[in-house]
Amino acid sequence: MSETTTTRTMDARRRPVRLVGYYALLMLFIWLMRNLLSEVGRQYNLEEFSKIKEIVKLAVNYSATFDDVVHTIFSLFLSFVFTLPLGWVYTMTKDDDDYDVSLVQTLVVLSMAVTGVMIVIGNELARAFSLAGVVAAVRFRNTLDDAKDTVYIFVAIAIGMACGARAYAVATWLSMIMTATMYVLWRSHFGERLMRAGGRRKKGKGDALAWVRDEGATQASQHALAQQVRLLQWASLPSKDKKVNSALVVDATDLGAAQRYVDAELSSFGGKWRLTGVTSNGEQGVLEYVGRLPKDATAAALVARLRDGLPPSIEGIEFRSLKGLKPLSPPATPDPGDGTA
Amino acid sequence: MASIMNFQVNVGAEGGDLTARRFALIMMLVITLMAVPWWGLSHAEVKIAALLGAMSGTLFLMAGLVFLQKTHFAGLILLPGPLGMLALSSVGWRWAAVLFGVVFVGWMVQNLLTRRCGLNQLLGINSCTCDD
Repeated sequence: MSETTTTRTMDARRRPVRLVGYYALLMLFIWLMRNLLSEVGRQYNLEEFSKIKEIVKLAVNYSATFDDVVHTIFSLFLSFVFTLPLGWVYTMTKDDDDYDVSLVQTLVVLSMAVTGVMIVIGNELARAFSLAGVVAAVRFRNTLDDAKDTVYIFVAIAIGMACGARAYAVATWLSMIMTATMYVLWRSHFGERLMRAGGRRKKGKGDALAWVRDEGATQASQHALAQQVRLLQWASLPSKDKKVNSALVVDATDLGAAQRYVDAELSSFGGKWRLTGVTSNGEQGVLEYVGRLPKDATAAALVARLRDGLPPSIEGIEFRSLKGLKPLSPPATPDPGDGTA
Repeated sequence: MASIMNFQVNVGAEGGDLTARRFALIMMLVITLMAVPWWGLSHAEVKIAALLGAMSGTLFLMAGLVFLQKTHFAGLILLPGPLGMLALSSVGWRWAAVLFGVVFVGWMVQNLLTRRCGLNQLLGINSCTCDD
């Protein structure tokens, strides 16, 4: 019930007709207030109230206000129109992974906001300083992923400033030339070609994704993960003796010969070891040992000992420490809350 | 069966409806009394009062539209009521303006006494917290 009410409330708040109605009422309110101030100014002697008189004068000065309104609307419209191509170029030139819808909308709105700010400042130096103070007080900084996005933002600001300062020709050429430049740079792969010519290529998110999507790489990573989980399970098994803390992974071309060699070496080296897994692919395969190193012995010493006189049947030996590895705790069962738990 | 002529109680304190109605009633009553020619008040004075009333009406309507309050009735009454009286007063029909105001005041008093409002019913607004 409450969820339905909330949804309805949200929908009602999002209806654009409410916004239109609000502005219509606001216009009506302002019109009524103008009439009221005009009537108050006519009816009562306001000579001693200079500020009220000034308000009345400003409120009923229809011609000057209309001029401001037309200037503001025209400048905002041009700012909007000149920034739209910038948004299109951004949309065209961005990869799907880096594309940010919010930035496209920000470009357009930012340009219009800057136009508004410029109109408010006009030629007044004091207002410009006030703006600097206000901007310093408000945190609006945001980290952009791509340096090129910053350029888009700067161009949008420049267009907005030009429109606000009534330099419409500057805004027009700025918009056209900057969008054309950005499009041509993207189309010609400008920087990328230079890097390729020098034998370098930047590895981006696309390369990383291509590696993840690679079938062989996926299988290899899954195999490595499964092996690690297996070893971790061995390490976490309850035992009367001390727990195992080391693992030895042996890649072999001849499993039988490799096992004989490793068993012999481990028994002479000392410690407690046991073979826990054999992964075979014909004669080739992997031997997995878990155990504990003898006291005061190091992993490097064990690997050096195994590598000394390594038979051709062994391709590689890998030592893994299982110290500090803890098994995942089982998911907590919810408390029934009736005191039976 | 509820209809536009026969419906349940739908006027209450929820969403500021009752408060806005009381305010609108007082406002209309004041403007109507000011429009009575016996007091000798000028058209300009009636105009100022009517404009203040209409301005408060726009605020109530804004509250209803945008801030999801239930003050639509007060807003819709305070817009045509004072402005209609102002129009009649500006052409010199002061008694007609008073009659116009009395009609609106009567409508509001009837709504407040019965706690049933046709305009609320039409707009689908129920500000009453009662269950019936």
